[in-house]
Amino acid sequence: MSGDHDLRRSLGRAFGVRRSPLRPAGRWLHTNLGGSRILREELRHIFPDSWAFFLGEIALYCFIILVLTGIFLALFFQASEAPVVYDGPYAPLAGAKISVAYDSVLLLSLDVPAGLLVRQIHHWSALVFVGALIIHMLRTFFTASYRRPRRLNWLLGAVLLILVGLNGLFGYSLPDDLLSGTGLRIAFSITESIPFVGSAMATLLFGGEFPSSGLIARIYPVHIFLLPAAIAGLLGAHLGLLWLQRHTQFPGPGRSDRTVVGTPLVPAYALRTLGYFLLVFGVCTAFAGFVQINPVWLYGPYRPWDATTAAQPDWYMGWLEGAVRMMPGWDIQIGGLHIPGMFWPAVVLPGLVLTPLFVLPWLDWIVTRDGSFHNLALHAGQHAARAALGAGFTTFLSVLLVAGGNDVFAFVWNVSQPRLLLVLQIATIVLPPVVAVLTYLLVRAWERRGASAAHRPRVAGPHEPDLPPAGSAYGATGD
Amino acid sequence: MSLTTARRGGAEQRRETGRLARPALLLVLLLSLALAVALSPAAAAASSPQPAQPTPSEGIEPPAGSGSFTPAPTPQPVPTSTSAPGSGERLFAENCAGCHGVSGEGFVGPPLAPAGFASLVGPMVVDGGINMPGFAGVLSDAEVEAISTYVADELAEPESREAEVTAGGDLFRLYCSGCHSSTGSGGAMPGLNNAPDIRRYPPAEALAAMILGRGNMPSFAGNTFDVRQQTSVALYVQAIHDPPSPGGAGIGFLGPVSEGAVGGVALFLLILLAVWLAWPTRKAVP
Ligand code: HEC
Ligand code: HEC
Repeated sequence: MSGDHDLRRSLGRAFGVRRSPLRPAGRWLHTNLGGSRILREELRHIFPDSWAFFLGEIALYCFIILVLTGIFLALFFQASEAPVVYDGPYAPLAGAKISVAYDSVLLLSLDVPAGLLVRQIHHWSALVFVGALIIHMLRTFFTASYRRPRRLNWLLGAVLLILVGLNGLFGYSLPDDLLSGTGLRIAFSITESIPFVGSAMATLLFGGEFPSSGLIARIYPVHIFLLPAAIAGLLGAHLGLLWLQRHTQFPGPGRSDRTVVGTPLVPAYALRTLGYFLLVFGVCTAFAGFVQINPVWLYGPYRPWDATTAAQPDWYMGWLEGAVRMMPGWDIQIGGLHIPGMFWPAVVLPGLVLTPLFVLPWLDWIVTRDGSFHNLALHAGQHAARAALGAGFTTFLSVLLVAGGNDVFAFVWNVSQPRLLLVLQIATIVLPPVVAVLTYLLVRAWERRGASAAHRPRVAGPHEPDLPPAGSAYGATGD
Repeated sequence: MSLTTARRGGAEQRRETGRLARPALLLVLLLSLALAVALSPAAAAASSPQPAQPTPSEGIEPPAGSGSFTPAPTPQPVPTSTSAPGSGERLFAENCAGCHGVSGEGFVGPPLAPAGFASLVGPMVVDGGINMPGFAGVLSDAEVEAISTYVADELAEPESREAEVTAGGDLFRLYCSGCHSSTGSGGAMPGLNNAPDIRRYPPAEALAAMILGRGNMPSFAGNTFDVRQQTSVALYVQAIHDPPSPGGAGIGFLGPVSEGAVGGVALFLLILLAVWLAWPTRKAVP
């Protein structure tokens, strides 16, 4: 039974040397899954070494943290707008008539032991989650890692980004405080602004005219079950594909489209990534412990007639808020058709921004006519046009993001708000092309100086026969 | 597969064990992090049943005569110059009546009708306002307390003393937060005439602002608010003056914008940690 012998050897190595405390575990695996060729191979799954491949892991771990903390929060949150008189410890609201939902969040925050900490971990990790997703996607874009065979996985990632952002918006809407209600009101008028179907859609989604009763009860199952389940499923598929196709890797000695150089899953990579999970959890917990987030007791309950400055959505929705703030009101009336000004920045623009995200790999193929398999990532400086486009796109969204907080920035920087808005409006149009052209010129100059020549892949297989290479070599000497 | 087999050797073994040192370091880091978090404000808020914030008696109905501004409860020696009975009245006549009128009906300074709580008057007297001088070095704590009690109990209109902080919060969110934000941290207005952070002033300044109207801010007294409502708003302003923030640093109470910025810092930190974890360790490999 040479296969058996092989397995024992590889498990032995995987779980450490002879006297390792993990030996019993290895033996258990061996006796129960013994002879499994798949297991033997997968335990040695090679992960290329680069910090860039941790970005997606931040997002993954944030998701896990969100699920864990969310379960705790769900023990206390009550999704109901029924009125109740507040009688908790927060004096400035004593005797106020508030909703059960808001009351339960106050209870969770101010009465339940560790409740506020867990709530804050949940919120901080949500902010980090979307940031990590975006940085992860930017990395994938600039290294052109979305090309064949990873086109489907890019698409899954883009869908994940949308779902995660939406779920964040829903979570933000649940506590029924002044900010969440303000956000929902804007979401309602955005939905309503869609021609023809808008008002029917808004009525369907929101259960009537805003503020409709029972809205929170509608959002709640979506936030805690529907979208998380969809995210978990897609995430599983995303990771499954990643496992099959492996990471791309940066070019280097011994690395090619057919060989992966890196660290094996067991034990080194498993330990490292477990450690990283704990670090992500640790950082989110540290921020939750020391920096207050979303103090709903200060914002007060939502009443449709109340308004406040500094009413922003969470940051990942900021670009939409910015677009709404900057767009001149193009309120159009053609015959019986009325298109409210909200339609352009809040429906058309996101459509224009997000569609390229979904079709990017195929757009790339149409432009470059490069349909071959790539397992080596490009360095950002290897393709000036791609870098330029990415930089311009990112700049555009960043300007929108800043505009989303323009009242706060105007206040903090002590500049005139209308003037700041004007500057941002101009920047939205001027800055992205300028940044794109500058990026293009810089990358070209860098290329000409030959700086990037050293990074070019040595092995460039012209064509892969079929699926990505299953074989993985690790430990090219001298690497 | 043959590739894999061919390249097995001692070198990779060493690489793997070299990487194990980092998780150990990591564990130490995490343990200290856990310790720090356990001691953090948010955790403290959770472990004590009552979060650190104004107790109901402080916010809603301050017992008459006990100004919460008094820094130390130790009784001060009563100044000899005001040994006359009704010293609060005497002190008011000497220090305040010139501006606020003999019975607080208003003159250079606004009327004191809504100043029904000594806890509101006290800090105003000590710190002063925009045009009102502070009496910090001039009057002793006991004198400030005497004046405050006198103003609140004798000069302010009785209905002002019926004010409630919760009603004030409702009015604040309806009338004030559109300019000053619901946390009172201020907001931008056209022409740089910004609505300021109300915490820069003693809470009673809100009374003056409501009575007088300031710059872009309309007057609320009389037409919009009765006396009791004015006082209620001021009580709410007082309640959020030192905003209850059991969750830790308030980062300016500027809402999701500053939270997003701090979230960016957290993400940056995590990326740095990733760089650290992925940093090549193998130097000894031939
Ligand atoms: C130099 C004139 C002046 C003197 C003296 C003065 N004040 Fe004022 N006071 C003002 C002005 C003006 C305001 C309006 C707020 C501002 O200037 O910031 C005011 C506001 C107030 C307010 C809040 C607004 C209101 O209507 O309730 C209180 C309370 C108050 N003063 C109490 C006192 C007391 C008590 C004294 C005596 C210790 C005093 N003031 C002395 C000018 C004065
Ligand atoms: C239309 C916007 C607006 C509203 C509504 C508003 N304020 Fe103001 N507020 C301002 C501005 C602008 C200033 C600064 C005025 C200046 O200094 O020129 C100000 C100043 C203040 C100050 C600082 C002290 C002062 O006298 O300058 C306080 C306190 C204050 N407001 C309280 C309130 C309260 C309480 C309400 C609600 C009843 C309120 N404000 C409603 C715009 C507003």
